[in-house]
Amino acid sequence: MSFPISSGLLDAMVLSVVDRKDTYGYEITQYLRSAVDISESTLYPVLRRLQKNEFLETYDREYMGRNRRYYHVTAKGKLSLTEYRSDWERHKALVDKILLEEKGKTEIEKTRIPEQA
Amino acid sequence: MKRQEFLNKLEKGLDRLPPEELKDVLEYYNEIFLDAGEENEERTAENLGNVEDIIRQIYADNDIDPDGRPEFVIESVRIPKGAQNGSRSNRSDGSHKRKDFRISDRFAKVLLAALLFPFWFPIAVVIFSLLAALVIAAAAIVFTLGLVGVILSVTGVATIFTVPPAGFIMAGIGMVIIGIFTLITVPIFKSLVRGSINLLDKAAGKLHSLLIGAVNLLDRAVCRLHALLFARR
Repeated sequence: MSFPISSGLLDAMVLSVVDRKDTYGYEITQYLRSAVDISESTLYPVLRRLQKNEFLETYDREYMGRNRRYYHVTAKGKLSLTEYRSDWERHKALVDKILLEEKGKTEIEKTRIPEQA
Repeated sequence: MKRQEFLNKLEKGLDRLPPEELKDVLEYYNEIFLDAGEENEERTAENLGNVEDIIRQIYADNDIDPDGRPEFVIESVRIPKGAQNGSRSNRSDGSHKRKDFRISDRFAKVLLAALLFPFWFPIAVVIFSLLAALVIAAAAIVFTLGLVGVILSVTGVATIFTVPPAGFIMAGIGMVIIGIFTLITVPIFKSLVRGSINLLDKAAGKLHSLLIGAVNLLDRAVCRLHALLFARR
């Protein structure tokens, strides 16, 4: 069974993949495919968006007589990724609490849940 | 479909895209084909999906109507699908315009209120004064009632020893008046106390949420600082 991925989550996943090492479009998709059903066509707008927001920057490197576009995470992108990761931890803890009730109980106590007044 | 055919279709379909955007799209897809390998071109094209859909998506992302209507705004795209971190400020032009408009709208309302100040202020003062006068008058009447009751009761009791019948009547009337006074004032007093407790409770709640907000803010700041310090490992 597959779960729908929000565009925000996809943005963060791409940032995380590129954060490991600078990489190119085809490789990013191949990596993401291990978790998400995604094509290069879906990835294109994500990459454009991340560039527009200055989370990613690009440079061209020659590979077998042609150019290959590499993506690199900016400082702004790293910041956003850290933020997203902590948001994801909280979100995951809340979902686990509901979905994996008995297993979640002990771990939840340790997790801070954002309080809303 | 082979690589060149795919790219030709894409280029033809995206003729209304700004040239530099079009170049970026074509380079991206060309690279994908080359990275996937020359022998896999048919399968790669299949994986990429319908060219028409890709074209529509790219037009939408650039705020251009896929069907070529002028003055086009894509409402559904405006709503940030994942309004999380990354995609907060993407759809730049349109949403910003809207935000500006909203702010100026509120500003206009405030300005209007300020300009009409000479009209509504006297009316507000009159209404407030009337209400205040009514409340004070009512309070005075009730207070006098209480005072009269007490005086009648005391003098009545004192008169019992000199003129018993008159004394009993006076004390009786006085006590009845005190009873009426109590009936009126006790509920008012009770609701006043309850109201101020509620107010205090609300204020404490506000303070509580404010404190939590501050703690959350601090938490975020520490997270950011941490990220900054350990970003360049």
